[in-house]
Amino acid sequence: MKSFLKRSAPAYVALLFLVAIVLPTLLVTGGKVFATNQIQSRSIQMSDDTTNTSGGTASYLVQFNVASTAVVQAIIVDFCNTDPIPGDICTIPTGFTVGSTFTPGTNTASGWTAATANSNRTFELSNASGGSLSSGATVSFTITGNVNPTVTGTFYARILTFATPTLATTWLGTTDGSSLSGFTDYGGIALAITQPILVTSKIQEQISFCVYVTSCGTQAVINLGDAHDVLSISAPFVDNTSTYSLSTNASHGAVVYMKGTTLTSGSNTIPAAGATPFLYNTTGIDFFGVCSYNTSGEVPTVATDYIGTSNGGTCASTVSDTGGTGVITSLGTPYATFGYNATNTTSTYGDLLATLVSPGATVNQVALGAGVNVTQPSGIYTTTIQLIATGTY
Amino acid sequence: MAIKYRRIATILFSLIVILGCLNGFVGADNTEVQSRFDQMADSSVSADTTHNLGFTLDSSASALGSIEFQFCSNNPLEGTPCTPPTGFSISGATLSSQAGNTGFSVSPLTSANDLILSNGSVINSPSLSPNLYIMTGVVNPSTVGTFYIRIYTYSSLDATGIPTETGGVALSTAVGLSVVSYVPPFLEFCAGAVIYNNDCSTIVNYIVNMGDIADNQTAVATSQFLGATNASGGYSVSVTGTTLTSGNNTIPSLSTPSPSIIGQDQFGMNLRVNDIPSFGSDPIGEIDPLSPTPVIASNYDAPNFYTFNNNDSLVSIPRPSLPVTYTVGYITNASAGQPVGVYTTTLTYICLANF
Repeated sequence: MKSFLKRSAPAYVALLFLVAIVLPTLLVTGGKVFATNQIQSRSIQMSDDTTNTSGGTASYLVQFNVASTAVVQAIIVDFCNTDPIPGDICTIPTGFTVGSTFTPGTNTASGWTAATANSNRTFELSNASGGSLSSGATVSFTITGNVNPTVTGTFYARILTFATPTLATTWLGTTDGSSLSGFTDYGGIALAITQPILVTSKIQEQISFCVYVTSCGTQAVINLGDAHDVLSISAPFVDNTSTYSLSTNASHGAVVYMKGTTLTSGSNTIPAAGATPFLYNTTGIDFFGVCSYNTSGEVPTVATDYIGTSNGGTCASTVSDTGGTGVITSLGTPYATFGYNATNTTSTYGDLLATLVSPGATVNQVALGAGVNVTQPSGIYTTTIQLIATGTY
Repeated sequence: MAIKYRRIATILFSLIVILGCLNGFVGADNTEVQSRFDQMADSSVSADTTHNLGFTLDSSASALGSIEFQFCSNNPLEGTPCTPPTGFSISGATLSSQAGNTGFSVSPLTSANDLILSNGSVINSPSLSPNLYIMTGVVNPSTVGTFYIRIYTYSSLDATGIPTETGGVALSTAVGLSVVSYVPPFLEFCAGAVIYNNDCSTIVNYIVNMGDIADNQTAVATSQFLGATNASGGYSVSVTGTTLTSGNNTIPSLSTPSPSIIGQDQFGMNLRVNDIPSFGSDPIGEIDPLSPTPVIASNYDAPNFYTFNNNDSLVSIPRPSLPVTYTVGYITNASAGQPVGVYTTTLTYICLANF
């Protein structure tokens, strides 16, 4: 016996060497061994990997490189919930329906038709005029209209290539997908259905509102008059250095109300410009008024009495002449108009100054104007004007 | 050992219950109240003011028993820790008005930053019309900037249980715009031969020439002065000077109001329009029609009567006055024996304002 082994040893070595050479072309699967070549770089890219509870469909981009240099006239993609191994019985994944249409790709551009089989488990692409593909050639196509499985987890696809549509038809004759005959190349793919990631965030209600002269947060004090804050009977004084800025994400926008008395000194007041646009076009008129204009950002709708345009001029054309000699041209040319509805500005919520109809940010100037006639009692006249912003969310 | 396990089990069960409750509160799929706002009557810091709280329910499916307005300085996100705004207080506020779903009152559960409005009974199918709840006596935060409201509606009467609807509001306190002006004491006064349009700047001449004085006609002339002031006590104007003089010779002035008589030695004046002779003018200008108090001194206010006395008051207005231009009409008559000469005088008009 020993001598026999010794004599036969070279033969066994040669046999093992042969097996080593042939082994790459043998596929061992589930105890079955058959001759085939495995397609390479295979993948199925899903457009949606969530369960089909929403009732939508997904597209599957199928790509692989053929292993054998051979004619390819049919391709089968069989979807199974157990494994990707040919020869095993294939059970359709729960709730899955393969699409019956496709979008051509590489080497499937023309002449190919799609079909489904096995109760919408198997997708077949065939072309009786298909030619030969070299080993390593890429094949791709997109199966459209797939209904994903209704359960999360892994499922599989088996890709088979055939030299003729007839061979594919024959293979399909074994409806449970366990046939091992007729195909040229083979490849298995695992796919997975997952739960989507639900991302929730909330953008909180926001409003930022400032009234200032130099910068937000600083007290706005306007000395309306000449260098000594003195008003004149010969010309009005104008100050347009007051700014209000408003930014909000209020879905219904925001309103800015103005509240406060006219300039007051004890029991004496400088008459408010009124509820209709007031035009100062001659000297020696008693008035205190406001107009407003936008300087950047969203342009709010300014209330009629405060927009300043009723005389053909604009509030934006006014210039501050505080600190010097009042000149009527500080009102611009033509003169801007002013308003101050003292009835409303002294009511509970004040008088509407401007409306921002939608969310946004806006920066606006408030021009203050005052003039007096010779009978206006002397004194120190003051007022505090409150601008109140209200967003509606 | 068994007791120990029972305690652990009890603690775990309690934790599960608590977490479950939190999850039900935080993650409840409640809807959002719509068109929500808080309109402040005063946005200045620490103001004791009125807040108009408004919102519209998104659905009438859930009963409405109470409403919670939680004021926070950190954010408007429901279910997250709330930092009360510094200085803010709504605990002393009064529900002065309500609209939409009504029947609410301020609950004793209300705290400084947490307003709870409770209804007397649950509204099973609440209205979807805008709800307005006006709270007076709310003290604003003592700092400038944004603060927030979290609105919760409940089916319960005491703001307990899972909110049926929620929503946030952002609002802001702001500094006021302080305006300061000075109105100085005004006294506008001028005198000259002619003043146009109540404007002192139109005066170009200060000399009045009465022409030749003869015993068969009356010489007349006029001058004007203008007065205006914001003095609360108004102003008065007087005249100082002498009668017409030529060296040692004078034309006697009329010490009492008298008519003009040709051929007699007379010098006088008044401030009215006259017929004998025909000249002069009544005051013109912005005379207050609502205060028809006579402003011309009586001795100089009678048409066709003339007088002149040194230091006589001519005009007195007891209140602020817009510009008024007065015309002084002068008459001179001379007898045949009046010495020849150039007769002149300098009259000074003095205005005194009473501030």
